[in-house]
Parts: sequence; C-alpha cells; structure tokens
Amino acid sequence: MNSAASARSAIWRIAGSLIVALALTVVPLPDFLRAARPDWVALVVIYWSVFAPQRLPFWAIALVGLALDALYGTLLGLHALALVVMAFPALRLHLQLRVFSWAQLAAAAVLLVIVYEFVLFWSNGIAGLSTRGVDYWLPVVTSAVAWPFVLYILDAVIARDRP
Amino acid sequence: MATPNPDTRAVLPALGLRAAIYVMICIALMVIDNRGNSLDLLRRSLSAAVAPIQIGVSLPVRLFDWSGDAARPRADLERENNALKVERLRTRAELQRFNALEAENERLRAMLNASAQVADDYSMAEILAVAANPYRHSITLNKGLQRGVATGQALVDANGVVGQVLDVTDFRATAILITDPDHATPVQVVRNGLRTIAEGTGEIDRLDLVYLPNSADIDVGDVLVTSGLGGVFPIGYPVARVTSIERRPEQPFAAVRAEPIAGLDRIREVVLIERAVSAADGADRPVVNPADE
Repeated sequence: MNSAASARSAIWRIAGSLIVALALTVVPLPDFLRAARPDWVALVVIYWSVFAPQRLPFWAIALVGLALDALYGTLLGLHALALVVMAFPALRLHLQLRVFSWAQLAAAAVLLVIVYEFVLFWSNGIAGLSTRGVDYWLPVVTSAVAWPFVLYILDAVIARDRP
Repeated sequence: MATPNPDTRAVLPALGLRAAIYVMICIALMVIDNRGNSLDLLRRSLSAAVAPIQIGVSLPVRLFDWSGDAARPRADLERENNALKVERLRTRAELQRFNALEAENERLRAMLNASAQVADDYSMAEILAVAANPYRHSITLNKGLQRGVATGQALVDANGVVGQVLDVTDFRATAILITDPDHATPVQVVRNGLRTIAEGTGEIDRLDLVYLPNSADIDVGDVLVTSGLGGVFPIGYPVARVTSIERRPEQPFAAVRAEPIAGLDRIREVVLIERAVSAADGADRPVVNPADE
C-alpha cells in the first residue's frame, strides 16, 4: 500500500470510529443507565491522539465536539472546548503514553476523562446550568471500564493498517 | 510503533499555540451562543449533519416496534380494533358533553364581559430521540419549521403537559420537558386555585413546588393544572399530582413534591398545541429559556 492510500484509509478509520462513538452517545438507554453512559467520544479521541496524533488535528477534534453539542443540545463549543483541552496533553505526551504499560495507559486515560468532565462541569457552572449530584461523575467510572474495550477494538482496527 | 514520526516532530512546537487558539475559539462560540441567536445557522447545519446519526440510532427501536405490529395475529388486532372503537365512542360521548359545557362557559364568560377563550388547535409529532444527557431533559421531534412548529409551543400527551418547544430547525424541533432542571411551569391547584410554580428537578418523576408557605392549603393528591400565566402553556392542562409535603417550621417555605401526570419516560408521540392567540396574552416567551439564561 502506498503512503497516500494508507493515509486516506487511516483517516476513514478515524472518522468512522468517531461517528460510531457519536452514535453510541445517543443510543437510547433505560433511565437508570443514562447517567452511567461512558464518554465514548472522549475515549476514542484519546486513543487517536496517542496513536495517530498527526492524523487528528485540532479542527477535527473541535468539529467532533460541536457535533456532540448539537446532539446534546448544549451551548455550541462546550464539548469542543472540553475535547480540545483534554486532547492537548494526550497529543503533547503521546510518545511517552505509547510506551506506557496497559495499566499506566488506562490510568492516563481515566485522568484525561476526568479533565474532560471537569471542563464540562466547570463551564456549565459558569454558564449557570445546574449539574447536581454525585452521579455526575459516574461516566468517569464507566469510561474506565470501557477503555480496555476501546483500546482492544481500535487496536484491531489499526492493526489492519500495518504490514 | 514508538518511532517518532518526522512530521509529528515538526508539528509539536506549535501544538500549545494551536491548542490555545482553539480553546479561545470554543470559548468565543460559547459566549456568543449564550447571548443570543446569532449562531442559529451554525447550529442548524450541525443539527442537519448529525441528524443521520440520530435517525440511524433510533432505527432499530422503530423497526422493532413495526415488526411487533406486523407479526401480531389477526385476532389480536381485531380485538384491539374493537377496543379502540368502544373507546372512541366513549370519548366522543364525553366530548359532546364537553362541547355543551364549553358553549355554556363561553356564554357565561360573555355575560361577565370576560375575554373569550379561544379554542386551541392540535397537531401530532413523533419523538425521534431523547437527550442522552441525564441533566438535560429534552426530546427531538420529527416536525420542524416546515410543519409550522414554533419556539415556545406547548406539548402535551394524552394525560398531561409534557414540555415546550425550545429550538426549531427545518425538519426537527427540540423540546424541553417540564422535569428539566432549568424548566419552570406556572401551575395552580385545581381544588382551590392556589398558584405556584412547578420546577423541574432533573428526575423524570419529580417536580418541586417552590415558594409555597408552610401554611399553604395543599394536600397530597392535589392535582395541579397550568395556570396560563407566563403565556406559554394554555390554561387548564393537567401537569402533576402532589406526592409529598414536608412542612418545615424553621424554613420560610414548605418542601412540596409532585409527580408529572404525563408519562414523560414512556411517550412515543406528543400533541403540539397550536394556540389561537387571544388578545389577553401578549407574552409569547418561554418562562425559562435555558439557551438564553
């Protein structure tokens, strides 16, 4: 495969996985599970920030965030801001993160999800939108549980790219 | 895998700068969006872009509903059809009585020189999606500007008030439910006309009645209907039933909870009330508009 074709296929895979993540964020769930939905988009963005940083420019991350805002009906730019702030350390440190063991990488992913949720929490607070309850932080826990699956599936997706 | 990519290295020094630029763009977007409707076009095109995702996600559920209907035995359908016919007859009979009452009411009002209440018009809409965010109770409807849906229109189901339309695009409308933490519904107690406000709590089966003094004449089981104040909800639609009252002598107000009468977590379609605007209500703004607040 020549490099232009592989770049194109990589971009399709990234876009495809992000669309699947967006779909997973709006899949109807029973009421008691809704608060526990993992941050699929954040996890997928973390993965590609670490393993394909040059293929995931900030404008793409911001666009995905705006799509999330449209799906959630939140202030435009809210999720975009959270994703950009979260992706920055992941992009900056992607070389270190790549050599981490799986446990260290999982811990880093959870930290990044906490950053993401915190930015959302904080901007919501400034905009005067109420976010109550301890279960606001439930997605951090479920994202930690979901991370190994994201890692496994996207590793399998990326593996098809390698000779 | 850990081999540094040449173009990664070239890009890295500017990373912080670019991140800062995007952070500022996002903050600017939020501030502008928080202040008005100047981003409507962007919001609309984004909604249009993500609409296929929403439709794709709701497809299996709809397919399941449809196949359930298609696979049902004929006898079942006949039985249901018969039951519906009986039900329709009964409601029509009730409606006759209601029409007579309405006419009488109109006459009495005319005698009192009160402003005439104009009958509302109704149209149906289907719920396409429910907000994924547990802190926003909002739904997406399958009708938009094309079908005359307008911001601030009230939604009801067969039993009671559901919410109001918040945002309309060409083919879709987003509505906020009465249980959204940012929504408040002006209500009054049917039994004695006591006016209060039912605030959403973020829990689908709970509203809080705020600013009711401890001495207020309210009982568990009291039915609350829209009071028509605020100009969004037409008067007299059932909203909630009081479930618990805690009178707190040490506090200025009692803690009163109510449960919405509409099946907010079960409905698949809603009725949009098209208000015939009477001279009496000038206010056409939602009581609480979270997008603007």
